[in-house]
Amino acid sequence: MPWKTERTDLNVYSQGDIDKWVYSTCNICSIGCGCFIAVKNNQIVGVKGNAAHPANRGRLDPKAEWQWVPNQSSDRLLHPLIRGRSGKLLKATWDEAMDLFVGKVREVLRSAGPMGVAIYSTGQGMLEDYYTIAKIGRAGLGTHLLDANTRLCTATTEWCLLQSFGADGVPASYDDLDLAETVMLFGHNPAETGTVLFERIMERKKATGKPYLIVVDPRRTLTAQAADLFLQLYPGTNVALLNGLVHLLLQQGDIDPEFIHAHTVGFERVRQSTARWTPGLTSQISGVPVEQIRAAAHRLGKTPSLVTTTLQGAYQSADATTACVAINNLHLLRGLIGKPGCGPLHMSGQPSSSANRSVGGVGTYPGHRNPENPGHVADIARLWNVDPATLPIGPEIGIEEQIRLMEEGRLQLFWNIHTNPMVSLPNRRRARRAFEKAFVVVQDAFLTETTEVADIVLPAAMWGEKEGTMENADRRINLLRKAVDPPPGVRSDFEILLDFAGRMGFRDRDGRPLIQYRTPEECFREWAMVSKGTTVDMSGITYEKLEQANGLQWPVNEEHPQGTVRLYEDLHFPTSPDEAQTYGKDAFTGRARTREEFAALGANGKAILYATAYLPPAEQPNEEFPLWLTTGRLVWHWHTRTKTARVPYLHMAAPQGYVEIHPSDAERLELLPGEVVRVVSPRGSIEVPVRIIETILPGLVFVPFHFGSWQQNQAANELTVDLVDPLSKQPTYKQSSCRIEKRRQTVKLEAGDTLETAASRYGLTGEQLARINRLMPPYRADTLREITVPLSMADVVIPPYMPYREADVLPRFMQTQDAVTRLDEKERKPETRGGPEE
Amino acid sequence: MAVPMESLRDGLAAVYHWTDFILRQPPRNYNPQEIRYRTLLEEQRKTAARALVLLRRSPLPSNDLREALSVMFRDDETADPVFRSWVRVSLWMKSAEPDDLQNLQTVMERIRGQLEELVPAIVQLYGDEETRLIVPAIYRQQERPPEEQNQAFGGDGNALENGTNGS
Repeated sequence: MPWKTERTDLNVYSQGDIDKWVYSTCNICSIGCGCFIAVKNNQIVGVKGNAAHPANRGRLDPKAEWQWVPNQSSDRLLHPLIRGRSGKLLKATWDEAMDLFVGKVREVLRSAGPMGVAIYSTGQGMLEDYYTIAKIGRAGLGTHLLDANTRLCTATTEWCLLQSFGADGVPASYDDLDLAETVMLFGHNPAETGTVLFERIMERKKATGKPYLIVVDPRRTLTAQAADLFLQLYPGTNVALLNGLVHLLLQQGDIDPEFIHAHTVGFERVRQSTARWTPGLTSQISGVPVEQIRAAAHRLGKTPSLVTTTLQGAYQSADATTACVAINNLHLLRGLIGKPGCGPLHMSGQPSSSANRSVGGVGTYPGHRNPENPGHVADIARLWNVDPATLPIGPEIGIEEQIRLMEEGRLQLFWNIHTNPMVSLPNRRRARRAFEKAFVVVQDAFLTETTEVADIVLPAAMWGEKEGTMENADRRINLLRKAVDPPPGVRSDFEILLDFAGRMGFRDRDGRPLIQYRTPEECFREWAMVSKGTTVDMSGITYEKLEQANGLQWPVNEEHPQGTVRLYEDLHFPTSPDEAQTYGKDAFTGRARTREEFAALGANGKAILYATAYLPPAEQPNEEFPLWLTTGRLVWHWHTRTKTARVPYLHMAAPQGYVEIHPSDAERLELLPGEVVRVVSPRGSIEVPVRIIETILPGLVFVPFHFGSWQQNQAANELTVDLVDPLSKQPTYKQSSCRIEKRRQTVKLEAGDTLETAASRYGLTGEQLARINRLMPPYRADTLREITVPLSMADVVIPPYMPYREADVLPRFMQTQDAVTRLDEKERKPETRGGPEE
Repeated sequence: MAVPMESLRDGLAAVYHWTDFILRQPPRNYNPQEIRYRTLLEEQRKTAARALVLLRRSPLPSNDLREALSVMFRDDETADPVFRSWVRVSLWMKSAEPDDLQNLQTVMERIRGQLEELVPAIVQLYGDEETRLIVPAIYRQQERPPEEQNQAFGGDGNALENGTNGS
């Protein structure tokens, strides 16, 4: 096992011994950590890491350690709900809710056709749910409108792989991180979004000095602070920087001509598109100094092995797919793919978003079958025993287009499975207006911001209460055994899907039920058969084998019974027209290619190199909105906090939203640490406290996207643009424009007030009060009648989580000598004010 | 065959005309959305012109026309959301006049309408199955659910009559 050292993280709250440990997998981020669930009296009472699991060797992320707590929440939904005439959600029986649901679907199919119904699922469900969605959606309903919140997090992973290699599936794996001489983390902050993976990298680095770590990010994140070379680029300039790096590789001759000739097509496109990207131009556009660009290019050009990871900094930025394709280009130009320690490792954001792509719950047909290839469609029709003429043809239609279809009244029924789009979608006010026009069915364990627009709510089982498999970020299929029964009245997503299919009366061409499996394991057996012979072959997987092996990386078949650590070791890429998962899209416009156009590329087993044109983000700061806005995650919360907000420990670590701003901007705007300000974009505004921090670029502000309550007005997606990448259709959350407005009031001083006494009434220091009132020393309150104070203040102290530093909680980020938090100001009070009495 | 050819010709001519109408106007703000949708419309215009030429040939070069139609529909399918996002961002950034954007939007909708009107002729020319490969689903509103094609739905004919019966 490549990762040698074990550490079993454990978090159990139980009086006396537990009854049993149940084999499972973490359901939070995409690393896919093995774990065991502690059960006592049919209740989950804790979790521990699986020391034998290769992904984590027993370690758990802080959210993972607490992920069982929400199961016990007193506000779990226990009954279906139907929106009544009063506009309120009313308790209903399962029969009432499902009959209404099915009746409405039938009505919409009659009036609007299959394009009137959409299923929008998640990256946190089970592979078996997704496969069933694929079957119900395509063979049952005949709809194209299958999408998931994976569109928001990892659609770009899929599309950059489809473009370059002909099929989905990350070429490299975590094992390669243990072998690579150089690792480039591009827009990827695993110190906060995948702590176990970061720990793995850092453990090796501390012991051996390897890998040489290049980090690319506009924020000096905790990950960036561990880098040997940190490239802090301007927002929206990923492609510019990569073009500059490739330009230098070509200029230096640091490419592998034999590999390029034998295994790629399109080299001339790359040469031409990067020709003008001199270090000077690259630096001018990206803001990265020329010497750093040269240093990175030197390292990338000479290193014998390289793994490049990407995540939301790449996927949620302008020209996301182009940037990730540029990374694929770089690996192909150097021949650093398909061998130990080499390859792109485009991450996924959720624990099983990859599974959704593999089995066709989103994107293409199950088993990487091309929905525009009649042969592939006929193949799946044969396996499902349905008429191919009834299966939809053509690429999927993503959520951003589904919103438009709802606005136009064409999409009339939206089935939302275990996700919270009213917090996670960009420009969410527009999304809400669209949802309100449709009939919305929501499956969730809790009432959420999305159930506010639901017509039916179905209470769903949570992690630990259901069985199934998930696929992590490096193609590993992991098993989750059911640990406890869900609360009475609650059903798993799988059970709800089967119930729906049964009530709809879906049949195959012989009149037998379209879905004949009754359990997740039977479903997996069918899927394994459907996958046989495809690029995502799982025919060699059984539940039993998964548990024995602690997960297996596909393809797993007769040829690779123990799975496949890395793809393309034979340097054959599935790029012939009959093999390819799609015919791809035009790299610049995003227009779907025809079969003839794809064939004309002449790839036929070779990887495809593309021109990588740089275009700046569409929305940019201007006079009215002079700041860049970026959004992202915190280590302490998962997505829209449906679960983590219900864990007191996690909630207390990061209880509210905030806006991070550079000290120079804070000084220019005369902002105080913790002062509640209004952040305004062309689409809306929020009110959050200020966190002044040097790690962010001047001119850029950061707002975590977790805090989405309609009532508290802290939702980042009130502000974000609903623009998408032209290929992957992933929203550009990382680049919007905004301004910051102070929220202050003028108050009268009381008789006898000093500056200090007045300041203390509002939670301020005298110095702060003097600063925002532009007073000059010596400060004399008796010359003033009124002062200006912030309307509201709040401490923003987010403890970092850094187990590899052997200090789980520091008082706050210790990244600046300046007093930038309210805590600093208070601590430094004696020093700054001086005086013998103090 | 005459009827579909005639309606195809008229429809393609209209697509060409309205696409050309937009492209003859100067770009408003050269932002990435505008650059992209205009690139797509340029291809659409070129392809519509090519298709019109192909329609005049005898015998009809069926494969070439099929390819041209496929490209043209895909151009519009891609350009339409890009255009709409350009409208949004232009309004947010106040980089184009709202009335002007509205006028362009009307023309874009007209192009889409023309393409939808082409579909019956394409079906006549290529048949249902082939048409599904040429024309993206979003333009095929007449498509029926599997149940109406006697597929994938149970023999329980009553199910369709039940309709909404929830509480």
